[in-house]
Order: sequence, then C-alpha cells, then structure tokens
Amino acid sequence: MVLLTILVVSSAAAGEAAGHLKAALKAPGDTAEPRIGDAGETEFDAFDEFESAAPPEVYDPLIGYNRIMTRVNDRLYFWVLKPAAQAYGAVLPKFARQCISRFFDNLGYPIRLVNNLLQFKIKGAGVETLRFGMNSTLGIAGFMDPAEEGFQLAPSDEDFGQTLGYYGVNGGFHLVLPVFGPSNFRDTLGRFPDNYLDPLNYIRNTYVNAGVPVLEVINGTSLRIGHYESFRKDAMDMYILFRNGYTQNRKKEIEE
Amino acid sequence: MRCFISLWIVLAMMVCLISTPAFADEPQEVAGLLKNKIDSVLTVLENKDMPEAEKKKKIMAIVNPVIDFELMAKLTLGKTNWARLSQAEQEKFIELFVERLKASYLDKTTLYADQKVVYHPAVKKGNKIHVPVEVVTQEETAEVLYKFYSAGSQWRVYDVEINGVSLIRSYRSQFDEILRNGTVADLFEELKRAANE
Repeated sequence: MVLLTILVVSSAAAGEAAGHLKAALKAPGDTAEPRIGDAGETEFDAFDEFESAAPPEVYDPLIGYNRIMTRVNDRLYFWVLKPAAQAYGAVLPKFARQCISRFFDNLGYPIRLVNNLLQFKIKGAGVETLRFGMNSTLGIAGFMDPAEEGFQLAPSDEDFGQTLGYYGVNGGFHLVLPVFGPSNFRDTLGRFPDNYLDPLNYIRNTYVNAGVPVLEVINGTSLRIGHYESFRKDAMDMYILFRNGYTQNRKKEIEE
Repeated sequence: MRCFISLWIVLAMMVCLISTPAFADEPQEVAGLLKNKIDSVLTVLENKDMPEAEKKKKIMAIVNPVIDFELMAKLTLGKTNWARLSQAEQEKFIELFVERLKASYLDKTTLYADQKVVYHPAVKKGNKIHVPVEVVTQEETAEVLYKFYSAGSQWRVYDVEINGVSLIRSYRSQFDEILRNGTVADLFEELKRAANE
C-alpha cells in the first residue's frame, strides 16, 4: 500500500518536472497568444485517420491524358448518353427498364461466381448460385429478383480486379477509360478475363453483339439520371474527385 | 489495513460493474440517436405538401445539432494546410465550406426521396463510434457509414462514408491538389465558384 502511494506520488512529481522542463525549453516567441490553429492541432491529432492519406495517394503518371479523357467522358454524358437515355426512358416505362437491368445483372453470374470462388468466398459463391437459380426460373429469366425480395439474398458482386487485389496486386497507375470512366492498370487488365466469362460476348451475330452493350449502358443510365450530375456538382476539381472516389471505393470493395 | 484493501477491491469492482454496461451501451445509444434523426428527416421528406425550401430548412434544423460541420471543414483541409492559413482565413474557410457542405448534404438527401434505411449494429472504433446503414432505393443500395466522435456531453458526426468513399477524404484530395499548385486565394475562388455553379 505504502509502496503504491510512493509510486503514484513520484510519478506525479516526475510529470510535473517534465512540465517545467518543457516550459523552460519553450522559446520566448512561443508564448504568443494562441491561434485557432493551436487548438486545432490537438483536434487534428484526435482524427489522425485522415492524416495517413499521404498526398501522392494515387500513382498517376498519365494525369494529362486522364484529365482530358475525364472531360471527354463528361461531354459524352451530357451530349450523347443522357439525351439518349432520356429519349429511351420516355418510350419505355420505368418498370420495364428495371426488369431489363435485372436481366443483365443476372447474366453476370459467371463472372461473380468465378471471382467469388477465386477469393475463397464460398458463401458468396453459394448465394450467387442460389440467386441465379431462383431468378432465372421464378424470376422469369432474370427479369425479376425474387431471391432478394423474398429471401434477402443480396448479390455478392466480385470482379477480376477485386480478385487480383485480394491476392495483393495493387492498382498500379490510374487510368481513365473512354466511356467507362475511372479505372487503374489492374482493374483494366481484370476486364479481359471477366469478358471471357460474360455470356453476352458469346452471341454470334455481329449486330446484336455490338448493340447489346449499348442497350445495357443506355438502360442503366436511364435509371440513374441525376446521380452523376449530383456527384459532379460537388466537385471543385472534378478529375481529382473522381480519381479519389474510385480509389477509395475499390479499396473498400477489395477489403470486403 | 487488510479490511481497507478489501473495501477498495469491492469498491473498484462495483465501479466496474456499474460502468461496464453503460460503456457497452454507447454504440447502441449512438445508433439510437442516428435512427431518431434519420426517421425525422424521412418524415419531412415524405411530406408531399411541403415546399422544397421549407423541407430543406426543417431538415437542417434536425441534423445541425448532430453533424459537426465546422470540425469537418477543418479536417478536410488537414493539419498542414490548416496551419498555412491565417486566423482570418481559417474563419473565412469555415464559413465558405460549411455553407457548401450543407447545400450538398441537402441536395443529396432530397434526391433520394423513396429511400428505405436498414440499420446494422454500431461498432466502437477506439474512442469513435461507427454506425453502418444501408440506404435502399429502387435502383441501388448504398452502404453509408456515419462516424461519430464524443463532443463532451454528446456524440456528433465528423465524417460520412458512402460506399467506402469518405466525404472528408474526397474533399481533402481536392484541397491538397488546389493548394499544391495554387494559393489560399485560389482555394477560396474555387470554393465560391463551384458553390454558385
């Protein structure tokens, strides 16, 4: 008991001494009146999770090209994609477009299955298989999603870029793709194996083969009008916002 | 002496017993606070008769006490850049950014009128509490993470992540870029320009 008391007292004394020493070491200039920044610095230390984001967060040697392609995609959206999607949306009711969107999602099953398996996500692979089975039959060829609505089976979306990330491959340089937008070296490479698994690429008719992806993009856009605009509106530097957003989003997807 | 020690032990144990459940309940308490606020906001959004401007005013009155906009402004600038600003500039920055952030928040909130919110268990992260929710609309499901810190007697939001994209980080990357190549005046210029667009 006595020993404990001594310990407490002596450590307090040591703390006090250190305080004096610190004060003595302070240069005379330091005693100027405190600025907001001084109080702020302790605040910043309490939220150091954001300080870990070192400035060169993304390797971006192609920044010149990337900025230009971001502008091109932006114009493409406002001049071509959005008007096309709006015209399309005026013809087809929302419900029909949602069905088409679900149909395309359902066809992405092989991509999701293989990538779930490659990452040993057995549960994800099982859920995807159940979803595909149920939605292709009960859901009338995937136009409906009874698996999620009736059985709370949410999709487990995985692609080859995420699989590479799972095995420790980092993104490499940032790359903005025409039409598809922000990507990086790893995720761009990942599109090739995923393409092999996409049933839509096995259609033998050239016209259908070219037309189907266009339909998919326009259909998807028609259901999300306003989202891009709203995200873009927040930008002070649009390219940096998209690049940073993409990088953060992929990091989360890979960690999951 | 021995009696004294055992009294101490008993007292210490009692303190532990009393304080532990309260401690463990903190995440639940914060999740409850968030749910309460979100429910109030959704009620306002669902009101078809209320004009848009009034809705925004009502929503801001609901969320303002739990979102620490000023702290968020500081965090988006970051320690190093914050120190570069004079006191007057710091105040100006907070004023400009908070206005912008509020406008952006209201814009996003009113965009998704038909949303449904699914709550997941809140988690304690150090001295912060994270509440993950899913915002389900007809088209898609967004994973939203509300990050709370303890501001004295109450818990307040200091960052929001949407599908892994942190609001603080995404602004931070832009401010870093602007200040790397430009001056504080350029930053203010951008803040005003984009807000008016």
